[in-house]
Amino acid sequence: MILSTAYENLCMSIKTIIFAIILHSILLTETIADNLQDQLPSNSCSAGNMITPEPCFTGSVSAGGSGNEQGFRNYGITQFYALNWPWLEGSAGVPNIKTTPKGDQISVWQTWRTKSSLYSHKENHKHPSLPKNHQSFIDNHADVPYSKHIEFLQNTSLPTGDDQKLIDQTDNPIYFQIHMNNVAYQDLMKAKKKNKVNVTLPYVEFTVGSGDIIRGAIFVKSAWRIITNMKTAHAKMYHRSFACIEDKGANTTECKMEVVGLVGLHIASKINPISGFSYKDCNKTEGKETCLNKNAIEWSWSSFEFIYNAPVVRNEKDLNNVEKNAPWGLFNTGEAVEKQIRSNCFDKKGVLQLSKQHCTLNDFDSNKKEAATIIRFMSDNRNYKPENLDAKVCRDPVEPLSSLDYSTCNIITAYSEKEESVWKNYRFIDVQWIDQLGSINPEYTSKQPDQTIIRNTSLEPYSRIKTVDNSGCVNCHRNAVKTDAIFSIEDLPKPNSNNGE
Amino acid sequence: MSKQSLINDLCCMQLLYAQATEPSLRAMTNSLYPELQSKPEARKKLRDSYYIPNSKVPIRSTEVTMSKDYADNLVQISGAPAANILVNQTLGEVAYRCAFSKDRQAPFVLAAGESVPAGAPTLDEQQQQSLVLILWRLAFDDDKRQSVNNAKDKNEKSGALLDIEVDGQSLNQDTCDWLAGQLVDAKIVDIKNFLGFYLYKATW
Repeated sequence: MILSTAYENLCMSIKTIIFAIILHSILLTETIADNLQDQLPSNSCSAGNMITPEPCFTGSVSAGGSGNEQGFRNYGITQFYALNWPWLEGSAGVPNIKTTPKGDQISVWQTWRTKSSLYSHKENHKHPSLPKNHQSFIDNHADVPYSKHIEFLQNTSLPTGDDQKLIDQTDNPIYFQIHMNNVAYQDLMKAKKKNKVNVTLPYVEFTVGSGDIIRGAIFVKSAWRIITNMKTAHAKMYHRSFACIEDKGANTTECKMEVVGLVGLHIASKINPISGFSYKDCNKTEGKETCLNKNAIEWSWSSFEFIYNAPVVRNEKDLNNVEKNAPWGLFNTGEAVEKQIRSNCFDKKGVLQLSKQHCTLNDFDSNKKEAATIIRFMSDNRNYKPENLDAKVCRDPVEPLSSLDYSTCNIITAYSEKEESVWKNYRFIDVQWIDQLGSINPEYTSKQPDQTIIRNTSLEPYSRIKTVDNSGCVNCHRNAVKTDAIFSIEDLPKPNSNNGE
Repeated sequence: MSKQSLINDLCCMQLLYAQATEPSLRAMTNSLYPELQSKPEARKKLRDSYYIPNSKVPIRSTEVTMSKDYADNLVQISGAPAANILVNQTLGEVAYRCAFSKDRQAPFVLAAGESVPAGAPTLDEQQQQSLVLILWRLAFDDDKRQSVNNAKDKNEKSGALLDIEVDGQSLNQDTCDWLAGQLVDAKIVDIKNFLGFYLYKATW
């Protein structure tokens, strides 16, 4: 009897200990997940540098890097590493710190709330239903990263207006999606609470990041193309995902399953807390260029794109050297198109003149439904075309690498060594930011549009002439005066919006 | 100002040359700046592995580097929240003294390091790098330095600056004209602010 009671007590003690261990591990997991939600550096999560990808990154550009290109480029790259870290399945916005990037996996930012999920109460943002055969579609594409994540895509409109679309070489439109981090979402919800009666958007001032302790608002804009039927070798170069695509014209509430490949990525983040420019004189000096930047001073934009979106063509020689067999997604290498470019797009010296009347490069024609012919711009702070940089060139360059070339190489080499990842096929375009004088950086002095406009071939494809508003992300977004430099937020979201997962 | 102080400043010019021409060095040093406040080992690494070794200047049959104290000051201002002002200020002083001061003494009036003078030319990244290289040449080449500093008027000074080519790079006409004008008018603080602003952008 005594023995039996002692045995029962022992069992109870063991059960209590096991329960406590389980409870502790659950609580610990939740705490870690909470801390990791913002991907700020901590004891459990390292902040990377531009050489080594890590799952966390600091809240702002700081100290000696706060006023120069190098600081913002380093930041943009470490942010790219962290936001593309594989996510912890089931925990939206949380990186899986027990793994490392390899092959192709669903990225953290893909599991953030989408613009559509914020406005799912509105007719034009409702998620359609998945088709009944979606699971068999997924099973038939076993090499595509899944981990229970599906993109819902419907938007094909470019921000440049007139319902402009971008058609790729397989005659499918490019699809766009906007994700936001939890900080941006919470900022919107705080504005909602303050503004209970009116649904009109008040001026929402998003949080600005600081050091290792405050994460600022981040918006990610992605561009995707359908690659379901692409040759496997080419398809595997993309960061892929399953997507359910809504055909607005179809008479069904179901979307259609496709495999999509990422072609472009913009990351807008509020990370520049000590810019220090004073706007006190702006009322007196109307029209001063720096005063136009007031609304965007704490933001920066970094841009990345798939290597084989489009080639750099600055002159006829570049056109002659375009790799014809490369799988260009947005550039037509057909003879007829080449002839048309050769006849209409160069001056007598063979230099590109995009503004020539019959040149159709980077041109949108609403009457034509055929694939666009887009070229990549190459800024004058590069010595190498982005498509010509690979791990070998980066390691052993023939010509010296410029600072921007080197930054582009960081991503290529980081994902080419040890375990390869699809991210080695993405090219850093550059980062734009505003310095303490209120000026947009990087500074360009060339007059050639293709050397001075920072643009992403998939997100701003139709750039031809340089204007005051189109030469970069800041030039455009500073006009979003009602929304703290972000156009995507139309009005206040519905409370308790789902994560998108 | 002691001889050692000038040697340190010349070594600093050598560091600027290295930072402007070796993208990997610049990217690596820049990646350490956010860690300087919280990690003493990052300060030591920046000083001993990057700043001091890359400041090496050959003098006669020996080589000199910046002193530990001098490098410590560079590390400290690099880790400061107001680094973009403090580093501007320091580099402006160093470059002016090494390139444009006739007696190589540091002029008494300090620049604020906060802005560039109105009307100064805007330098793109290539011109920013050219500025570093031309100042480096002026710091170490007595003939070139004297030809700029002894030139009688703005045109002659501008021409002397325009003639300097380092690694295939030179300053453009606008920048040479502007610098020459400021030198002739002895606008020392404006020159220091201009040099500091763009040297920081090109090298830090």
